[in-house]
Parts: sequence; C-alpha cells; structure tokens
Amino acid sequence: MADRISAPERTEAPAGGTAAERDRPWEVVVWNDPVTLMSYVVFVLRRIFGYDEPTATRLMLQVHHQGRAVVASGPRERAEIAVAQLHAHGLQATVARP
Amino acid sequence: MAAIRARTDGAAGALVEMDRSERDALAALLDHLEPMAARSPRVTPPAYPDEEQLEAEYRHLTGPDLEAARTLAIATMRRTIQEDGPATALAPAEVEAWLRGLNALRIALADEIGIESDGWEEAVPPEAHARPPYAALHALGWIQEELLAVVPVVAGPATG
Repeated sequence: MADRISAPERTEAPAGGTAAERDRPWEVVVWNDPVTLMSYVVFVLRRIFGYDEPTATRLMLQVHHQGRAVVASGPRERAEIAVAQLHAHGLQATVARP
Repeated sequence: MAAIRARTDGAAGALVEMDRSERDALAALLDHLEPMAARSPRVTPPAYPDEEQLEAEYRHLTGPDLEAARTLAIATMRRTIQEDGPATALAPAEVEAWLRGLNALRIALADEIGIESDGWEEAVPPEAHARPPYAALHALGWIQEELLAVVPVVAGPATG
C-alpha cells in the first residue's frame, strides 16, 4: 500500500519561472537571410499571419535592416506552430522566451 | 525565352512559359541542388537555438513533416517542369510549391557557396554573376520573383 501523498515541505515556483513569467507571450522572431527575396518574405508574412501589405513590408524591412524582427507573439505552442510554418516556407525563424 | 505570366484562362495560379532546353536545364539544376538542400543547416534552421531540450522536442515533432513538405515541393516543381508544351499552367498550390522549393534550393546553394551576410552581390567580381553558381542563384531568384509578381496572396493556414 502506497504512502499517502503529502504536500511538499516547501513550495517552489514550477520550472519555467513564476506564473506571471509563464503567462507572458513568447515571441516569433524572423532573422535576416542574405539571399531570401524581400518580396518572398512579405508574401510569407501575409500568407501565414494575414498581415496587410504595409504591415508585412514594415516587418520585412525591419528584418532586412536590423537583422531580426518580432513578427508575432503568443502562447508558446502557438508561437512554435508559427515558427514551423515559417520554416516550411524556408524563412529563418526562432521562438524566443518572453 | 522563359516568361511567367498570369493565367490566360482566368483561373488563379500562374503560367510558366519555357522551351524544352530551359525545362531540361531547370530539371538538371533541381537534381543537382536537391541533395544540397537535404544537408544544408540553413534549410532546416533551429526554432530554439539556445534551448537544447525544447529544440530536440521541436525536431522530433516537426522534422519529418518539414522534410516531407520540402521533398513534395521540389517533386511538384520537377513534375510540372517536365510537362510537354511551351506553357505550363500552375494551380495556386503548385505555385506555392514552386515558391517554397525555389527558396530551399537558393538557400542550399548560398550555403554551399558560403554566402552568409548581406552585400554578397558586391563582394564578388561583376563577371562572376554570369557564371555558375551565381548564375543559378540569380536564375532561380528571377523565377521566384516573377511568380510572386503574378500571384495574389491568399492568407490562411499554411499546409505542411
């Protein structure tokens, strides 16, 4: 017979930080690639996120000039799905901790 | 001379006009570059470059699907290139396959050449752009640019 489950003697924040930290959105980051066409990056951002052309173009230019841009944010699972879609289109993309 | 236009039948997609020698050259380029794409780290970038466990889980979950999608995109290019006739009508899903396939092949080629930063166009002598491998990089980029010029963006969940 198993011992009764007892509460731990001291409590710690779960792995991954405090609840407030876990609730903060994760970021979808797109990185510059020197041969990927600017027009293709705009196409993919519009295709995946439904952005209008000015928004997608602004984000593409941020990637081009600054090397990276946060193109979306949200719960980790959704951010990861977006990154997988970006990878399927051949863009350099990562999920970043909040 | 190759050209890419909107379809003349009013349907969405694109019309690729290439003669036999252009089709054969593009098919040969696919055969040459596809193995490079399969081994290029830049074609399969990490989602979590600094988090080993999350990256391993991501690879496990998405790796096979991403590889299958790339293989299918390039297979779609190969199949449609080899169709007979001077003009091939591509459906929207086929255009998207071409765009993805072309992008993977260009990145693989850039990886092989060693292009790692902006300014690479000016870093080589002008005459180099007319010769392989740069000529191939530009030719594939031209096709991709022309396709993007004729297809509307359809927002929605990407497949694969």
